[in-house]
Amino acid sequence: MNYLKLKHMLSVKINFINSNVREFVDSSALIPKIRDKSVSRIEFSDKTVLDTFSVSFHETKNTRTDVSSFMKYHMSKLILTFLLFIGTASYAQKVMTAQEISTFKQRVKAVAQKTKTIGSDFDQYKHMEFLSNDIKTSGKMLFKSPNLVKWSYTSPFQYSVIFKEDKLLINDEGKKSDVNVGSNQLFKKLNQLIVKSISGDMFDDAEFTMNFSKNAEAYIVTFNSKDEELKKYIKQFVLHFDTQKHTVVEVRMIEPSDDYTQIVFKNRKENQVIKDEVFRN
Amino acid sequence: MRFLGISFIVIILLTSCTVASTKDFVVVENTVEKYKNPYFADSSKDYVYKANFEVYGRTFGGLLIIKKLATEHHRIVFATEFGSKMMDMELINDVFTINFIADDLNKKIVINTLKKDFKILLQEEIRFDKTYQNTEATIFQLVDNKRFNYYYVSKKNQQLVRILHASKSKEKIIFNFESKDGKMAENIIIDHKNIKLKIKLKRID
Repeated sequence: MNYLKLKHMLSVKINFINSNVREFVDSSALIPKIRDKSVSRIEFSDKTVLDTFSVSFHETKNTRTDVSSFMKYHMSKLILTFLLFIGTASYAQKVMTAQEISTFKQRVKAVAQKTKTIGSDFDQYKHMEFLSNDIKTSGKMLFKSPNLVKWSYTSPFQYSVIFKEDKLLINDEGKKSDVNVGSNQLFKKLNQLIVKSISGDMFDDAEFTMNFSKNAEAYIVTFNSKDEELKKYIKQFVLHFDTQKHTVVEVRMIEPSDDYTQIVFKNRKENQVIKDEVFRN
Repeated sequence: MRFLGISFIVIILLTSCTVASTKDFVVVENTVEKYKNPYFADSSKDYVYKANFEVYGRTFGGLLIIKKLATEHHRIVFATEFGSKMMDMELINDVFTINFIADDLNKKIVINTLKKDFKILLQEEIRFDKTYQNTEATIFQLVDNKRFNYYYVSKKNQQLVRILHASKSKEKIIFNFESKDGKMAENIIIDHKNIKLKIKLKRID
């Protein structure tokens, strides 16, 4: 089998996969690399949440490449890899249609409008590429409409922060302090985002471009920051919504370096009485 | 002539001064050439600390994450409890690279202070110049460009319990360590004597 045939086959396969994946690696840019490299393995990694489609070439020590020998030895493996990927593609993200987006937005807004309070446990995972393990912290989040939020970390340390008007009320293992963030526009923006992301009402925000997709478990909305200041810290917010309840089940804040913070909500309870005193330090 | 006299007095005063905490030191013979700082030395471990900074009466906190990437190569990240990165830097031998720093922290004095602290904290191999002893510890002295780093190794359990960074006459920074096994520091206090800055680090699992 010659190079052109291989190119054609790969293009067909990749384009087929592409129909299931929103972010697409340009196949024409991908193929010529095979001519120059001895490819031992091609991996398609389906990172559902990050929604990226990565292809990695593992170079062998043999620098001279023979495409036909590559084909003989690796085509079956390659097809198997593709099949496996296609097998999992049903769990991968699909782009939502305009109609689906419109219905989804309406439902989220309707739920958000009815939500006066939220109490939810959460696990937070800080992922950094160089770490062996994500850093896990856990706690409870309380929200009271229109804009009171308290995050209490209980494990592995005691720390709580209340967002109140232009202030942050912090209780750091018993040490209480107030931080005035009135002049800090960036912080204000982050706070607004947090409030909006919890209530799920952030589709009118002109400061983001949005992408909507879905998988078997969730609707996934990706918010790309337009604001240059904010982009320095967080380039993208990814919110996962429960497909039945239309509430936020996961928030992922992705930094320009692709390191991220993931917050997964569980045991969410809505509209239970939360007294205002809870939001005092 | 009068000026010369004053100068002499000043010089005599300066040279006769020693750091108070080194006064009970007795010089002993070097039995080994180098000492290895055991903390932050294991590249398979993530060193994660809850950090608390006390600066001129104000306090703020966050997470300090340190990872050894190779010999004399560490990554140091400071993030808020929420996970937002405030500072991300790398130290390779003596050279710092800042990958990211939040605008609020991007000040020369902050960067230089942290650079100095981390350089001392993370230096793995210490080719010391002198060995001392007092009643509690064996102390290795490293001369570092007109400054001295004293590494206190407890006689009781052979653990590194303190690093003192000093000039000839003044204590500048004291690093106190608490460890269960001598390999992982559970608590670290970095106490600056020339500025009002105290950094408390408490390890989290």
